[in-house]
Amino acid sequence: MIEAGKQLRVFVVDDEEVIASSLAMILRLHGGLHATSFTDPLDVLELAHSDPPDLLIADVMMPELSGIELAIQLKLLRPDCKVLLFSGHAATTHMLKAAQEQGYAFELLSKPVHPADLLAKIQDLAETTQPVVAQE
Amino acid sequence: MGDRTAEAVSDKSAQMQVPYKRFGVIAGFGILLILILGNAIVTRRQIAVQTGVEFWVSHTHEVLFNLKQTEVLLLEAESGKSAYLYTGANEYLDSYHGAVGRIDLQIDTVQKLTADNPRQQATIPELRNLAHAKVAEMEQTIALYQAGQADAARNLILTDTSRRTMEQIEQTIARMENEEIRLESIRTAAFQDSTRRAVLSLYFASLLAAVGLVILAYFILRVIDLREKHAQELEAREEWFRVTLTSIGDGVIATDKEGGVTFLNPVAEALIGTTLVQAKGRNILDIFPIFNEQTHQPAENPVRKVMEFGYVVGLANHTVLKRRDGTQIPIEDSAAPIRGEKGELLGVILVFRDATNERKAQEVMRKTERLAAAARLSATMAHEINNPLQAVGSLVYLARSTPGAPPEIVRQLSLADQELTRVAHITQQTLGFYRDSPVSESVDLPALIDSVFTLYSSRLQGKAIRVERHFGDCPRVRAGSGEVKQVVSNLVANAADAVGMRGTIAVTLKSVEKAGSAMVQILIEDDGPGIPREHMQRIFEPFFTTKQDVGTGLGLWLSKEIVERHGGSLEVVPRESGLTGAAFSILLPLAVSLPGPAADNGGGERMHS
Repeated sequence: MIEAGKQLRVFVVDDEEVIASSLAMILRLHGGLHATSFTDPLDVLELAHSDPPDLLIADVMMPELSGIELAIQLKLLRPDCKVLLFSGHAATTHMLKAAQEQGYAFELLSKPVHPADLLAKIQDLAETTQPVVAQE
Repeated sequence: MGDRTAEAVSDKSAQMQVPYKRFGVIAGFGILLILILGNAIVTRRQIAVQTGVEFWVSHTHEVLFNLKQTEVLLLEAESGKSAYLYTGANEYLDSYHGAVGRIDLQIDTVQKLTADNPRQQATIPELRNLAHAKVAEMEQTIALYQAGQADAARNLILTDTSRRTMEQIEQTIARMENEEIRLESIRTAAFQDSTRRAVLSLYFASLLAAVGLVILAYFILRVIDLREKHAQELEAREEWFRVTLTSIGDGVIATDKEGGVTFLNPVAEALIGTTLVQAKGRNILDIFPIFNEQTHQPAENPVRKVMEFGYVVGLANHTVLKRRDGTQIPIEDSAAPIRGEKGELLGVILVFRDATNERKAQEVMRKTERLAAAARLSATMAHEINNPLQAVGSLVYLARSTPGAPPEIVRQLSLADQELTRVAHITQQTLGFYRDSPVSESVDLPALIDSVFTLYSSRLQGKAIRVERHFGDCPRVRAGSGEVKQVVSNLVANAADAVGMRGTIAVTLKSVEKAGSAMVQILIEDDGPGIPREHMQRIFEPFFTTKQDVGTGLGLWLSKEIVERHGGSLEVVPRESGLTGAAFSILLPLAVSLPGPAADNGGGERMHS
């Protein structure tokens, strides 16, 4: 479990509201994370300008902005921001490849991700991550 | 093309020239014949003239002879008389009478001979009178002598009358002779003239004939030359066509307009299984029996169609040719009419070839096409199924872990969670990583295999499975990473299902050399019960499964399809002796020849279009 004082700020983004909100709730209730759900990646960008998260969990295929583009934007705002992408679509690998060629290697999980697996994954990440609050 | 037209034109003009030439030859011979005939007529005429002239010349000579003879007779009579008078011998008197008796006859002959000449005729009576006068005078002398009046007779002679009469006769005869000589000279001139004319005519005709013959000979030789050249050209062209048809890589059959085979090139001979000699003259329908590949019904022969409609006909699809030995080969062909200069149908030419490889390629293409369609469908379906699955999975998880939830409900929700996991498993196996994009990329296999283990970490942990990784020095391969990931996932998932609690899954990665080409081998082994011998033949069949509750029977089939599409192979290999369990070997080619970006250098400069 992550300590309360080092609570990670997580943005969960999916254009399907149910997915975003239920995952955020799981992370809050079972991961002890400060998780916020979004359905519009543009909202994420707007908020991130003033207050970027420690971790972004985003769907890849979204109508306004792809999860990959969103992740790159966030990385520009905050280079140590962790990113987990997930997708139900098979055609996303070439988009990841394109991002990789620009210097961004993102991890992709495929939907459906079992909540237990996701929590374990975040636990792994958290062990290598210091929350921004603690750094400053 | 241009050459052909030019040839056709020269052909045409050559054909047009033939009647002219024939006419020229006939006319030439005709003219020569007329020349010879004309010459013959002229010569004949000249000969006739000469014969006439000759007759008249000899006639003149005869007249002259007879005139001379008349004179001679008179002189004979004169000398007979004189001798009688001198000797008194009667034999001289006989000689005298003999001569006198013939004088009139002689003059008659001359008269007859000169009947055509009025001038001579006019002189004849004068000659006759003078002869009569002379004879009368001689008669008188003889009569006087016989009467014994020798003196009177001598006096009579001495009167010189007789001599003068004789002189007159000689003059008259000389005049007549001159007339004849004059005539003779005219006739001789005419004769010479005629001869000269005949000779000239002969020379002229001969010269003309010689010139004509030379010209004719020249033309005939020229025509023969042209004919020969034309024949040689024809032969060369025929040879060219024959060699060309023989050299064509496709089968070629030519028929006459009734469908009788006239030509078969070696390729056609080989495909049909008969020789030109055997096939020549036989009907195309017997030589070229074709059937529909699927219905096995006789297919309509394109040659018959061409004969019926007169245009180029392609063969229907799925046509097979039944060869002489009974085997069938798939063919593709077309038939076209052979037309003469006037557009009339001379025959049909059929071109066909062995389409075995094309059909095979088409089959592979259809299969690939089907797979691609399946891939597109699965990509769409994946999105549509995975999103709701994610939502439901999360909701069930939330509901199940609600504090204070009744245990019965938690149990039911756990069951629901299991069922959801099963659905997720099925979609992941069949739809999960199946890509609709044909892009192949440089794949880092160790990282890919590790990501698969991460994906299954909870399941592996659940059975406390030990994972052994033996990654040797392994270059990147060019492949569809999603697809390779799908294959490795399927095999790892199968291994995880197969092993018992605390089992072991071992993955070995190494470069190998297979059939002379560099490949990468991914060996996935488990220490489970292994694959029963009776299942060995069927595990790669679609819908074959031993996991009645969670299996789709598609995982291994799809994996094999994917690996083979990459030019690799997927097979079960025996494990080391003494070890139980199953071992699957994935071989992927190191397709270094594939174009595309080189192995990643981590740089960020490369722009992706």
